[in-house]
Amino acid sequence: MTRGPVAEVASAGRSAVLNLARLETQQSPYVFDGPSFEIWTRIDGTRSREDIAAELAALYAAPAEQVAADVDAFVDQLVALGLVEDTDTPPR
Amino acid sequence: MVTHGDFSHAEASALLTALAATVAQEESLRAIVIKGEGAVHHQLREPRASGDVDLLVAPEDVDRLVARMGHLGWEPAPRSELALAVIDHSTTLVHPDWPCTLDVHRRFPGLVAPAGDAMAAMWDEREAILVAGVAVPIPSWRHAALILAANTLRAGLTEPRDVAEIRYLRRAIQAAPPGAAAGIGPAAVTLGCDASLAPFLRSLGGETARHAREARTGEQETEWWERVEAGGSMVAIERRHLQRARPRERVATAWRLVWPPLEELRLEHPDLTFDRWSALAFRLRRIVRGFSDFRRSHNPRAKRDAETLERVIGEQES
Repeated sequence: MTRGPVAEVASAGRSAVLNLARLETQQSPYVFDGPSFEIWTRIDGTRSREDIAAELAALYAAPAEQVAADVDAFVDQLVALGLVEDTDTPPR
Repeated sequence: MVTHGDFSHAEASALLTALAATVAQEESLRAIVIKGEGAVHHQLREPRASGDVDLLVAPEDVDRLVARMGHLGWEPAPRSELALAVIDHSTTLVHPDWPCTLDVHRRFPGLVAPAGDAMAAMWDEREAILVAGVAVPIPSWRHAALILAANTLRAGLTEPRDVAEIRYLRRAIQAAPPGAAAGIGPAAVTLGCDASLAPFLRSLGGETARHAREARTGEQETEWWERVEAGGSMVAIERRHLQRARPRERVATAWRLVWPPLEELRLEHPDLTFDRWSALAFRLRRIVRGFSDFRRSHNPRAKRDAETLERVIGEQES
C-alpha cells in the first residue's frame, strides 16, 4: 500500500493531510489522530493491511479480528478518497 | 472514520503553502512563496504563527492563479470600494473551511522596479524548500531579506514587533558571510528598493550602505515614503485617492472617506459587529485617529523620516 500525492503536516500522534490529486473535491485537509493516525502513519509502502492490523492489535492489546476489521474499513475509506493506493488487495 | 476535522493555524499555513505551490506548478505559473516559511528557512526571522500565506506571482500569471484557486473554493475576500481602489498590489483569497488566507501579490510595496522585472530577478535566483512534503519555491536569501525589510519598514517602525523584527534581520545579515551580505545592495537596486529601504541599507554599513539612494523618484516611491513617514497610516493613501478622484466626485469621495457607509465598515472589519451606535462610535474614533495621523505626518519631530528610522534600526535593544 502506498500513499497518493499528499501534503502532510505531522506532529506527535497527529497528521493533517491534504489530497493534492483531488483538490477540487477535497478542498480541506483530513486530520488523523489516535487509531486513525496509527494506521495512516504505517502506510509507508512496506506494510500490508495484515501487517498493520497485527501491529495495532499488539499496540492496543485488542482482539486481532476486530482490529483487522477496523483497519480494513479505514483503509477502504482512504482508498476510496484517493489518499492511498492499495494494489495488494483486490477491489471489493 | 476519515473526517476533515479541526486543523490548527500552523497546519493550515503549511498546507496552504504546499497547495499554492502545487497549483502554480501544475499550471506552469511563476509564483514564489514570500515571507513565512522561506524567511524562517533563511534564518532571517524567528518562527511565529502566521495567519496568512503570501505568494508573489508574475503579473501576467495572477489572473490564472486566482481563477484556478477559485475552482478549489478560494474566493477574493470581500473588500470595500476604497480598499479595492487603493490596494492594487494584492488580492486576498479566503476559503470558508480554512483559518488562514492567501495573499496573491502582483508586486510588493516598497519594491518599485517594474513588477515583471522584479519577479524575473527573483525567479532566476529562487530556491526550493520542502513544506508539508512539497517542494515550494522561495526567494533567495538576499531577496527574502529585502522583502522582509520592506514589509517591516512600511508602517514606519511604530510597532514594537516591527522594530524587533528589523533589528533581528539586520543582525542576521551582519552575521552572514561577507559575500552573501555584499549582494544585498545590488539586489536592492535591481528590485527598486534602494530608496525605499535607504535607512535599512545604511544601517548595514560598508558597501551595502553605498547602494542606499536618497533621491526619491516616481509616484510609487513618493507614496511609499508618505505612508512610512505617517507611521503606516492610511491618511496619505486616502489623500491620494481623493486627489485622483474626478473633480465632480471629490466631495462625495471625501465624505465616504470621513464617514464610510455601514456596509463598508462591515466589509473592512468582519470581526466586529456594528449597530447604529457602535458604528457611530467607530467612525468618531476613526476621525480622531485620522487627525492625529495627519498631524504626525506634518510634525517634523514626530515624522518617521529616514534619519529616525535609521536610528531606530541601529539602536541596541535593552
